Amino acid sequence: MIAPAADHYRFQSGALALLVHAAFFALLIFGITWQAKEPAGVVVDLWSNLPTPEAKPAIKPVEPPPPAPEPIKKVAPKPAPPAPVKTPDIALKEKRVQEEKRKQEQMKQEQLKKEQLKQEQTRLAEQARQQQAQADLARRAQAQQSAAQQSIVNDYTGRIQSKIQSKLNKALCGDGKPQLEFDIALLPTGQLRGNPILRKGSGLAACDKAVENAILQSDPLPVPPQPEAFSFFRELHLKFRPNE
Amino acid sequence: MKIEATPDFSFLTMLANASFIVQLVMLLLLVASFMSWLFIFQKMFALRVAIKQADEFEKEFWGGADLNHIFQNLTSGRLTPRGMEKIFEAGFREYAKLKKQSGLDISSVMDGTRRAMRAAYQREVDALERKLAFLATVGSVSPYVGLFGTVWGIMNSFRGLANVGQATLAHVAPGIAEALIATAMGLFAAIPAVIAYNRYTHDIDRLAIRYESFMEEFSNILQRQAR
Repeated sequence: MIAPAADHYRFQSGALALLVHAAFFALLIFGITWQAKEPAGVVVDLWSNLPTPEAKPAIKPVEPPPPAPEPIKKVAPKPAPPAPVKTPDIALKEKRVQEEKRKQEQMKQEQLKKEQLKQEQTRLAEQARQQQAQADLARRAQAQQSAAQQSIVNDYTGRIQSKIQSKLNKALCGDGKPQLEFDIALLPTGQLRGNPILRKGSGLAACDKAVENAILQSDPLPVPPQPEAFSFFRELHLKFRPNE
Repeated sequence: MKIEATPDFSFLTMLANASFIVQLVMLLLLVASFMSWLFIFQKMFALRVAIKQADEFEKEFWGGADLNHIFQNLTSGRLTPRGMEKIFEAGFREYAKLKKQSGLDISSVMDGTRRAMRAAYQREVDALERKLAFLATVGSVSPYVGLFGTVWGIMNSFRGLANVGQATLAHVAPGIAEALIATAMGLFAAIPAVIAYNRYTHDIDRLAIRYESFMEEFSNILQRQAR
């Protein structure tokens, strides 16, 4: 029997086959990894509470210029004593020139002082204006926010009332115009915390009981998901007029 | 529920996340692919050697050398003769044996010689064709095996989708990508196997034709000598 020629090349063939598969896997690994693009990272800040709108000034107040060096107050030299008659003409002339010079210097300094004062005043005025603007901005933002919150609060109080109303058995409250007031406490999930407390009864024990049952049945009550709006719902004072 | 912001699409994690059946299919395909590549290279070397040997032997044979001398060279050699040499050796050996026996006419001597050569030829061609059937099998079956793995993986990934309330592409895509690796591997095994099979059968056919023509021509030479 003849030995098949292929046997001589078993190891070579095995090595080559391994090489081919290594290449194939390299292609798969790098080819696929290369296609899987890393999405750009997203940075998320988690806030437990909405930040109060900071009324930061859009423009920083201009740094006040460093105060100019205080002009050295020179004691104005006393006018020279009347020249003695003896003094020669030339000396007298010199003195006069000096005096003139001194006067001019004084005038200059005064002008400088006035200018500085003016600058200071304008700076102060500017600052005041900016502060005013900031305050305005803050007030407006607050007003806006509170308005938005107010609308949310109104919305949800309406929903709570209507939910309870829908569960209420009005037949137990008679024909009159009974008024009841309840205090309830809520958890952030809308569930009741403790039992509702009757603040002002209608005079009809059955009616009081019916309203209380309605409140208990409508647990959980709708509450706003925003934590700052929910703060209005932690303690609620509810007024009921079952027959209206 | 785990939120995966960035589904990991690297190849190895996809392999690791695939279901057991799909992994099994992939392993099977990997083995099949490796074996088929092994045979591809083996056959490549073997055929190259066989063609070279046939070339050399034909050159020597038609070079006008003495038949006895060629036979001596072949049988005394350290290596077992192969291919065309083997056919020559078997034929010449049988011819010499029959020639020694008295009382046989030429046609029966030639018949015996031809039978001996035919047997050697068949053995040679059979040796060359060994393992080609494996290549044919891998070439035709492994795409289906890969497809099976893919179908299974996609089935699983859709079943997982049923448990999710809101179906998004992100839920299905990784599973399908995993499953598709099986098809890729099946094709990777099948394509070279089919190409190699076609090529090698063609080469072997040509070689067999050369062997057969050699047999006919050699028979003619022997017949002439026998007279």
